[in-house]
Amino acid sequence: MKRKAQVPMLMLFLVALVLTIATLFAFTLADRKFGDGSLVMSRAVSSVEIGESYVISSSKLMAKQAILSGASNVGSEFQRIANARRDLGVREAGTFFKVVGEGNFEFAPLGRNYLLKIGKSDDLNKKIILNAKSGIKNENEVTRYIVICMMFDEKGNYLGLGANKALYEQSCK
Amino acid sequence: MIYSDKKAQLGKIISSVPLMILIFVIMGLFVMLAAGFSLAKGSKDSPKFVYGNIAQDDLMSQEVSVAFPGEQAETMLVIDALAKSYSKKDYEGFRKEGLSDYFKPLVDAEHPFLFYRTRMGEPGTIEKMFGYAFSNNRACEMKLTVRSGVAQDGLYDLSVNGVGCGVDSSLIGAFDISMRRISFEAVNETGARNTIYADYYYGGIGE
Repeated sequence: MKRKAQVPMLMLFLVALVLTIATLFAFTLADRKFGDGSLVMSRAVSSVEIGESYVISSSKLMAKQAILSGASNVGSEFQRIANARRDLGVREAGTFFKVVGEGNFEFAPLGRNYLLKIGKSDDLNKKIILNAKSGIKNENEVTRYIVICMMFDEKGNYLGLGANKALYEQSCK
Repeated sequence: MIYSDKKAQLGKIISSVPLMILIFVIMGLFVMLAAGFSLAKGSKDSPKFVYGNIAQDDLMSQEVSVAFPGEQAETMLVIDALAKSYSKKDYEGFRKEGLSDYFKPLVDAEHPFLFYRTRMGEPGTIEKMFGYAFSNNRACEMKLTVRSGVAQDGLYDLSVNGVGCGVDSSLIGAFDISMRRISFEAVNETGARNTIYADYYYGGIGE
């Protein structure tokens, strides 16, 4: 009878032992290659960042070229320039050239300036979507939506947010 | 005596069983939490945001006027110029010899050094490293030799030969620069997608 009474204590000991061994296994078998994982993940993030920078810089340049062309319809000119750029097929640009190519943007005079708006829509087909995958099975995926709202003066110079904050807040709603 | 033993056993069971139940409950919670974390999928979407003023000082975002062979000069981004230079086989010679000259105007007092080289595919053929330095109010070409190749972290050990143009060679004689490495995909004349790698440095020393 006394031995039988030791069963719960023995069970406790066994459970503790099993837990300890399982923890040790977990520590031993855990993947410590955090650096590799981080590198793979950073590739996807980096790709999206390159795309973001590319889309913004392209928008500024194409808007300037469209304004300086003297075309009566700056929007059509902007679209024509974008279609020529689209041929290079830079993947990092995501859906930017498709959205512009389909005319889903606004680029028109606003007083003495020009306002460019792209990607501000609830419709997925009208959004600028940048996407990148990395990893052996493409298990890492980063998607970023960007909305462009930029203003330019009559010489095609980009008007920064600083001095034009109120105008931006009013126009980019 | 027997009665007393039974009492002792009962005491042990009462004190042990709740403890075991507690242990199993904690274990169960742990397992459920672990399973929950491993099964949970985070949102892939990053928050939306509207752009206002963005600092664009990266080489790839700079505007250059480039005349590709048989074409008129056209203002484009550096990244587009590189993508275009890999789009046709006919541009290969231009990419290796003439294209970098069009990047010269980017070197100024604010950005006195520019180094870059590109390759296509993995591992691809690494092409010549181009280098320019701003000295005496003009950009001059630096003769660069990569001494130890590319380290994994993108750190180059450059040997600078024949700098000329009055550049203080002791300043840049054997400095290590951490170059940015990017890759992007572009389409070539056959419709195939190429991955283009660019390693570059654009700015001043000690930044």
